[in-house]
Amino acid sequence: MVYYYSYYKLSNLQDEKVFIEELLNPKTQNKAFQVLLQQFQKPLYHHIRTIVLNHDDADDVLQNTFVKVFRYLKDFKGDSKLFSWMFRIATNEAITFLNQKAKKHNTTGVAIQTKTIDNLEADDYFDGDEIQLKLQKAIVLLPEKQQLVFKMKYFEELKYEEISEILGTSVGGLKASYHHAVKKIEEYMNIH
Amino acid sequence: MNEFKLDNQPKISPGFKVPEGYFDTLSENINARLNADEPKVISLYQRHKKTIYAVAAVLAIALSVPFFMQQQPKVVSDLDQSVIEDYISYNTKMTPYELAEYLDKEDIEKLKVDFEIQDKVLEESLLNNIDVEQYIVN
Repeated sequence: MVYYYSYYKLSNLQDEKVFIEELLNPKTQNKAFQVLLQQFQKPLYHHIRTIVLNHDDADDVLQNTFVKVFRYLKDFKGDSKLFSWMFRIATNEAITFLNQKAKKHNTTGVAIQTKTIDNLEADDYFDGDEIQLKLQKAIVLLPEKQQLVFKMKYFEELKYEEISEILGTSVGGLKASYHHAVKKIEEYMNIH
Repeated sequence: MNEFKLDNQPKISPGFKVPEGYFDTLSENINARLNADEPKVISLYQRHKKTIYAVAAVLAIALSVPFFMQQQPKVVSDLDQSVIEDYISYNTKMTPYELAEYLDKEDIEKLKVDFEIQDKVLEESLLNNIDVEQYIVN
């Protein structure tokens, strides 16, 4: 078993413009895409995993994300950074996945997440202690947007500016969301 | 018990683990999916190959029907005129009178033969053939 969470530095792609050109040029595309895969597979996996919670679902969503990234590369305008564009696709894929899963089981996304959290203790790929499990239980009670912001800020340690680019929300709005999330989580942790 | 404050706590990680070797095989799996997606464009033709050939065959036949239809009268017109005449005369039971009914003025004109019989020859032949008398009388 490998323990994860070595945080990826998102500014690693030094000359992003040149790299994007390589991604768009059919001659260099395949090689550049392999670089993209290596650079982004871990941070995107962690991002998706914190949303969908179990490994098999995260694997599904991550693969779909990369297939979509490859397919829509030609539509990437360069208005946003490559990383925020990819994180946006991953976020949408993960949320769509949860909603579809909920629909299939004739329930809500929150109910699906709650059930997954309840099963976390038995999950082979979760080895959190009591406080980690409690934190997960507290997060699942938050509204969807606050959950996302909290996970991206606290677990993934993204900057507000980066989260703002990914979610299309103002930095001020994000700070407020995070503040609310932390307050509710602390309340939950104090009671339970 | 002290009040719980996130900032006072050591960082709490999500507690998730990744199966060993997952990231070693991930790019392979993704590349395999991308490669599997690509040939589908070709396989669409492959899958409908039979249908395409069948449609092409039907179209070829359908389009060639008028072509052959047009050729048929040509074959008839190419036949030698005398062959047709022979066929009609030997294979039909038309009487000369019935045939004559199909002739118009022009046809009759064409049938006219100028024998250029000289008067003397005519006289002699008439004299030598007494039988003709009755025709003259008539």
